[in-house]
Amino acid sequence: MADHDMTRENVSVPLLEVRDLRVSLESGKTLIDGLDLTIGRREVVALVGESGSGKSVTALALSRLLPDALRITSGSICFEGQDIVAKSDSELNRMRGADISMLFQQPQVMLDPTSRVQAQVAEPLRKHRGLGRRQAFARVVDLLRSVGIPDPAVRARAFSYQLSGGMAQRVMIAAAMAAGPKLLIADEPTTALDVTVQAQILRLLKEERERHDLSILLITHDLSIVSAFADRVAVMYAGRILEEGPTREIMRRPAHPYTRALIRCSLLVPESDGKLMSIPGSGSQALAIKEGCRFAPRCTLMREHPGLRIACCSREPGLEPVGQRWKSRCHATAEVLHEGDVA
Amino acid sequence: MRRPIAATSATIDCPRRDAPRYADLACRKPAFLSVEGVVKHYRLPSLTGAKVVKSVDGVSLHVQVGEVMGLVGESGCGKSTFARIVTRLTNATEGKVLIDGEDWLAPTGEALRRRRRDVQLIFQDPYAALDPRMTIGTSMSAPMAHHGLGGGTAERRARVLEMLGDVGLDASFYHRLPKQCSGGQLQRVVIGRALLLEPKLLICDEPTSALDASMRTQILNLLMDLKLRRGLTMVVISHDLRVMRYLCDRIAVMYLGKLIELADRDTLFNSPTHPYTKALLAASLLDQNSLSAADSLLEGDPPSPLNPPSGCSFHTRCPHARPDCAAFEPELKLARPGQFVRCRYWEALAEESAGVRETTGDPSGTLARSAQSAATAF
Ligand SMILES: Nc1ncnc2c1ncn2[C@@H]1O[C@H](COP(=O)(O)OP(=O)(O)OP(=O)(O)O)[C@@H](O)[C@H]1O
Ligand SMILES: Nc1ncnc2c1ncn2[C@@H]1O[C@H](COP(=O)(O)OP(=O)(O)O)[C@@H](O)[C@H]1O
Ligand code: SF4
Ligand code: SF4
Ligand SMILES: [Mg+2]
Ligand SMILES: [Mg+2]
Repeated sequence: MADHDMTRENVSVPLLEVRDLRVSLESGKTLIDGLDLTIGRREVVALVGESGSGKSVTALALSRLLPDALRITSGSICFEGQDIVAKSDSELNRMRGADISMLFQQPQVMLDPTSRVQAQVAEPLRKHRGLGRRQAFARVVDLLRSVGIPDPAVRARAFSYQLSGGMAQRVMIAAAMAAGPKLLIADEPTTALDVTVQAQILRLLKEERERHDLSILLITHDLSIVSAFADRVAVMYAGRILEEGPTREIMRRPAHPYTRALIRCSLLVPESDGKLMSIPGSGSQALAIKEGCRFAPRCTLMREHPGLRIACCSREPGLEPVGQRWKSRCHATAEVLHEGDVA
Repeated sequence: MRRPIAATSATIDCPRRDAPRYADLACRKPAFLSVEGVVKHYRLPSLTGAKVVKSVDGVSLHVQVGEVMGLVGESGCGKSTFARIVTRLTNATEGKVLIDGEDWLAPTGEALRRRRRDVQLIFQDPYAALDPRMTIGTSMSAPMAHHGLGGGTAERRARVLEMLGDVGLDASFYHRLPKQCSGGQLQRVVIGRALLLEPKLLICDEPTSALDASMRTQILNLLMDLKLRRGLTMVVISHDLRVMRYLCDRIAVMYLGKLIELADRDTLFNSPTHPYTKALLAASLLDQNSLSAADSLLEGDPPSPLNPPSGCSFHTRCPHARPDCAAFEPELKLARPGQFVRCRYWEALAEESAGVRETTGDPSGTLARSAQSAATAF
């Protein structure tokens, strides 16, 4: 998958290009702090990073679905060359579902418990494709079948609270794909699914991408999904990107200490004390760090190399190139790479 | 109130080596949680009259004091329904549940209210578990107050703040509303809230699936610590087989409302015996190849629980199904010490795959081989 020929044209006009995006609470607190992200056509980009780092807020900002308390304060989000930060609500309404579609983390919450599955999947079809009631129902049954729901005609008449978590997520995927979007933003779409269905859903998304030239921004905590599915990976920490680049290289030998620690945690191999490795402390205070690297309070590399301390604690590293379309935000990239393969 | 005996400090240093092992049924202590033939049917309206979903269809399971039992299986196979029955959030259509030898399905009203705290459930979905209008602090202290725990308001507040620290959240969360927290932060709140009630039995439905890798290891360390230090008995439901391998002593595999394999952790990972278990281990070895069309992923749609297949319910997808699999339902039988399997042909299959391993290149051996490599990968 990582081998798709990213032609020069695709690189020069990416499907989505986010520059210096900032999102703040009304009270002024910053949640997303200068995020840069590029998604090419047919590309699957995984967004990883610890809980609370701002992945879901990013997803909501990109699909312009931020709740009232949150605001985009600066930056641009160019979709096919057009900045959607400036777009009006009615223009955005037209884009949502038709151009950019979103899958959420908590399907049971997103599905309206008072309306039937059929109505919820049919909504984008009726809105963007102008299908009538009968045509829409037939299409809904097809979509439900394509996402692996048994007895689709019966399930179409069910209410969402009658579905298991897994089935609810499959219904959400059917609804998200209904109007044929160009970009699917999927926020932890498979966390509630078991491994066999998860593999089927990922395969389904992969097929959709090949059939419809779909690009996907996939938010996940599961690094084995990242390895299996994403062409590129972006690692988020305290509201910005710390490392971004090709999945294969990063998963094997990351250039940032945080990425490295994250991968080691995900292996679930007990350390010498019998405990599993975790990253001590929490990133929730990191946005308040005004000087130096935001990961410094938790960075073992810095602790092991006292010579780094002055640079790390006084100057924030920029997102610098490490390789081909690969960037990292660390003063000690060479030392990190020198540690060798992560697993 | 009686507390399970604490493990010695020696076991804390190396969790895996000293974890309890049960070779077979004969040498086991009486169960702490006994589930006997539990059945749960739901009615669904449909065009052709009401249909019945057999969410849980005759499950029996015995969990020892201090044991961690894992429950895995396909989405919709009834794991959460099982958890809801054991926590008395829904009534079983049939069957018995005993906790510490006492009937757990009988108490109602005040008697049930008093005993509820003994069995706590950590939900799959933290958003649904918390009242969106209540602050985290209120959500966490209300159940304690309800059960008369933690002394006065000030002490309860102190306990909640301490617990927030234990689950890796700072004091600022005390006054936040759920919508101001991320999914992983909420799941920690939910776990902390359950632990504040000092339950004897903790049922965890996907406790770590909303968490990032670092937080997941922190929660797993926390659960492992509870297991080793307090001897807390747990039933853990997870799709993540790596989590299962780390945490569980025994693992039960469910398919369409029934147990199809039950085995010691190592036995299950080293010699999975039911064809579905093998497929499950293979599917969890995600890689680029497993997502391309021609591979060992389970074929076919998951069967509808509205209309389960006759005979062995796995026969519609089983790569080894034989003609009479559709006619006869297999029983859950002892296959090896500590391993129960619901498949009429497990012995024949075990011999076949042993043969396949010797004569490599046989395409029908794909599943056996990937299950084999899964065993080494976890
Ligand atoms: N209130 C209800 N009304 C009707 N059917 C229900 C209800 N609750 C659950 N079911 C059905 O029972 C079956 C089992 O559901 P359950 O949620 O227990 O599955 P699960 O194994 O936990 O799946 P997942 O991992 O996807 O959450 C499903 O077919 C589901 O649709
Ligand atoms: N409506 C809100 N009000 C206040 N804080 C919020 C709100 N939504 C999110 N946050 C905070 O923003 C941060 C990022 O949250 P989120 O994007 O949900 O994280 P995740 O990476 O887990 O998806 C968290 O610290 C969270 O508490
Ligand atoms: S810049 Fe310094 S503190 Fe930050 S990640 Fe790199 S080594 Fe660690
Ligand atoms: S009984 Fe038959 S169909 Fe069922 S698992 Fe065994 S071989 Fe497969
Ligand atoms: Mg999130
Ligand atoms: Mg469930």
